[in-house]
Amino acid sequence: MDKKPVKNGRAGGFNLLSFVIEHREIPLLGVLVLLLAGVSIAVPGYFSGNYMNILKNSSMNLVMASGMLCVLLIGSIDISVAAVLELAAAIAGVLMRDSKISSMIGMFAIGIGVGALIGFVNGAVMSFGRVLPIIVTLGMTYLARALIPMDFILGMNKIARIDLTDYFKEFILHEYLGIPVIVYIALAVVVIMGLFLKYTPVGRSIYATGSNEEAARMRGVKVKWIKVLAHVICGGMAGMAGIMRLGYYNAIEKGAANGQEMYVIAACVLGGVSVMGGYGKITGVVIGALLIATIDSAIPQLFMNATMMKEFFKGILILMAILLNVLLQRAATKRNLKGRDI
Amino acid sequence: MPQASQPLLEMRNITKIFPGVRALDGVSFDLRPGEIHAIVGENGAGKSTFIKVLTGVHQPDGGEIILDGRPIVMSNPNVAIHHGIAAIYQHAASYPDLSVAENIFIGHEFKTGPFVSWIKARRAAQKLLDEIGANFSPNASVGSLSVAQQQMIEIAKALSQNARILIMDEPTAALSKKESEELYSIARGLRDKGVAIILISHRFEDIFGLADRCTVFRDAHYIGTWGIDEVNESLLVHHMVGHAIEHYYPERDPHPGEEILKVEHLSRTGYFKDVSFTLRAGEIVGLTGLVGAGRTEVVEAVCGVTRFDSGTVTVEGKPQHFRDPRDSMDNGIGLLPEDRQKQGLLLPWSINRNITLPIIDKCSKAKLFLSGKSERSISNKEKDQLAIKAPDVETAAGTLSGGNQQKVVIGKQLAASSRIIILDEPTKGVDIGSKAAIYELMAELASQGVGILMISSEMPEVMNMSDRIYVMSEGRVTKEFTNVKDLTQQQILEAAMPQERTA
Repeated sequence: MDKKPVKNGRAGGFNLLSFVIEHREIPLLGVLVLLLAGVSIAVPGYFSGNYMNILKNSSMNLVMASGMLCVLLIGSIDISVAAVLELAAAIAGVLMRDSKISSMIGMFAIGIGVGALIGFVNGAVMSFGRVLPIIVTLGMTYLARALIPMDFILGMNKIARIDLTDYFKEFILHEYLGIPVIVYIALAVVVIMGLFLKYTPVGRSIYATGSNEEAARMRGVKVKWIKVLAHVICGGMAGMAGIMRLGYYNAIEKGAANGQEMYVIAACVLGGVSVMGGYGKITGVVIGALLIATIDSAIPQLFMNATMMKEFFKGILILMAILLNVLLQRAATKRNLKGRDI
Repeated sequence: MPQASQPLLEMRNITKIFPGVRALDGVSFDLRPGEIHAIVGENGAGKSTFIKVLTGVHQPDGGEIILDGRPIVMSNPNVAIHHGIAAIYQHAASYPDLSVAENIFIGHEFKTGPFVSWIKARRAAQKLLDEIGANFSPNASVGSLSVAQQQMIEIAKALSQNARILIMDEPTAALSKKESEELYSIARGLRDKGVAIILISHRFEDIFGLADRCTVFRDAHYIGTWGIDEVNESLLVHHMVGHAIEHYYPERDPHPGEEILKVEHLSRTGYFKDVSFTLRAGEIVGLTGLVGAGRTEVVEAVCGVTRFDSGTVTVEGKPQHFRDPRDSMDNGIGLLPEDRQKQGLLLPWSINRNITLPIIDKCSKAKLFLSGKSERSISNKEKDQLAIKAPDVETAAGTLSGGNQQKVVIGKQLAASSRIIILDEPTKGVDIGSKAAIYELMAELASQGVGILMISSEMPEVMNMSDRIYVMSEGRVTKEFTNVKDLTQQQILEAAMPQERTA
C-alpha cells in the first residue's frame, strides 16, 4: 500500500517519475548512503566507530523534527523550539535540584507539559489572533528565554551535574542491547508520529489543512483546532527533547540550544517536507536529520577546513533539496493536468 | 457621435476553448473610433473571456484580431497596452498605500537620468485628472479614496498610456447613482475626443444611457449587433436568454414534506440584508440573481462559513447559529461551494481521500485508527452511484474533468448523509453529459426526501429544476415565485436587475 506508486489516471504500471514524486525522500537516501560509503572507504573503521554517536547526537533533533513536521505540514513554522527546549529543561532541572521531583516519568511529564503549554499559546495566538506563525514564534523565543528561571532563583546561572539525581544521569545513556535509551526514545517518537500522521483521522486532517485550508474547513475539518494541536505537539516534542538533552549533557543553561531550531527545520526541508504545507513524511525527516548529523561527523574526517566544508555541504544540499522539491511539484502538477480528459 | 467610418478594431470568428468548455465559439465584433459599444449577455455568456482575449490575457484558439486594418497577435497584455488597448476592471487593481500619481505612472515612470521623477509624474497626473474632471489631489493615498475615484484613477492611467480603446467592465456595479452619472460624463467626454469604449454591463441604464451600439453574446456565441435606438429592454432580454431550452431535465413528481430550513431576516452588513426563505424536505428551491447579488454570501453565513449579524436560522425546528462548517454538517446541512478547485476539493488527493474527509471519524476503528478498507468501500460506492469516470478511487482529484470533480464534491456530501444540500452553481464549467447526471442525482435525492437549495445563474436550469424560485438583487430577496410552470425568463431577469431604490 505504502510503496505502491499512485496511478496517474491513464497508464498503469511502474513509472519512475510518479514514484519519485510520491517518495521525495528517496534521492536523499541515496545521498546519505553515498556519503557514508565514501567516508567509510576513505577512513577505515569510521562507520563502526562513529555511527552510534551520530544516532545519540541526532536523537534530540529527531524528536524535535517530528514535532516540527506537524507544524510544517499545516503550513506553519515554529522557530521557538530551541528556546522551549531550554525552558522545559531548566524548569524540570530546577524542580529536580530542589528535590521536588525525582522520577523519570515526572521529568518527562514536566518537560512535555511545559513545551505543550507554550505550543498551545503559539497555536492559539496564530489561529484565533490571525498572526503570522513566524512572528508569533519569534516573540515566543524571547519570551521563553526570559522565563528560564535560573537568573532569579538563588542567583544560580545554570543547572549542572550536581543538581541531577544519579538515576536520571545514568538512565538516559543506559544501554540495552548496545543501544542507549535516548536512541530508543527517539525511535519510539518517530514511529508513533509516523503512525499518527498516516493512520489516524487527526493525522489526515493535518495533511488536509496544509494542502488546502479553505477546502478542508468547508469539508468539516476544524482547521483552527488542528493548527493549535499541531503546535501543541511541536512544543511538547521540544520540551521532551529538553529532558533528553538534560540527561545527555547533564547541564542546561540559557542559550545552550541556540540555533538548533534552524538545524531542525533544515532536517525537515532536506527530508522533502514542503514548507507550504500538505506534503511531508516522517521517513524523509529521519533521513534528513541523519544526513545533517552525518555531514557534521564525517566532513572533519575528510577535509582540513572542516567548519567551512560542513556549512558548504549543508547549504548546497538544502538548496538542491528545495530545488528538487519545486521541480517535482511542477512535474506532479503537469502530470495531473495531462490526465484531465478534455 | 458614432460615425460610419472604417472600424478601428475588428475581431473575427474568435474561438477560445478551456478544459471541458467552449468559452467562445466563433464570436465576431467590431469597434469604430469614437463610439461606445456595449457588450451584453448573461453570466457565462463569454464576455469576460472575450475581453481577456482582446487584452492578450488569453490566446484565442481560432479567429483573428484586426486593428487599424492589420492583423495583430496579442501574445501578452503588454502588446495590447502598446497598441493602446486598456481595460478598467470592476475591482480596480490598484496599490492602496501608494499615491494617486504613483498609481497612475507605476510601470511607465518619467525618468530623469536613472531616477524616477515624481515631480513630473505629479504634474502630469494633475493634468490627466483635470482632463477627466476629477477633483482630488495626485498626492492623495489611493486607499483613502472611494471606489468611484479609484476608477477615475484607472481611467487616468489608461489615458496616460495613450489608450485609444478603453474597456470598462461593469464600471458602475459598485457606484451610486450620482457617481455613475459622473462616470457617464467622463466616458462621453472621452468618446468625443475619439476614444473608442467597450462597455460591459448588466445595467440597462448604463447601456441605454451611454452606448451607441450594442452586441449580445449568449452561451459563448455571437447573437447580433444593433444600434441602440433599434432595440429596447425586452428585446435585449429576449436576445440574451434566447429560447433554447434543453430537454435533459429529469421528470419529477415533487411531494414536499416538513419545513426543514427556515431563514428569517438574515442580515450581514455590507453583504446582504433582511433575507428570508424556507426549504422543505423533498423540495428543490432555486436561488437566482446576478453574480454579486449576495446569494453565495447568504448560504455561507447560513452554514457557518462566515457570520451573520442578525436574523435567525432554523433547522428542523431548532434555531441554529453555526460557527463552523463542521457544525452545520453535523446538523445535516451540506454545502457544495461554487469554487471547486479552491473550496471544494483537495486536488492532489485521491478521490477516495476527498470523499471520506468529512466523515473521517466514521472510517476509523474506535475513532483512532483509519480503516483503509471502510474508506475504500464508501468511496467505491459513491464512485459507482455517481458514475465518476476514473480508473479507480486512488486517482487524484486534480486529474478529473470539471463534471467528474463536481461529482466527487457531491459524493463527499452524500457520504456525510446530509438532509439539506445547498449547491452553489452546481453545473458551472460542467459538460452537458455530466450536467444531466447531476440533475438526475438532484431529482433522485429530492425524491428520497432531501431538501435541495440550488444557487444558479443559468436560467434554464433554475426554471426547469426548481419547485420554487427566490430571486436576489443587491443583497436582498426581491421576489419569490411559487408557480414555476407559467414563469418566463424575462420575469426572473427583471427581478434580478438592480433597481434604483427610493431611499
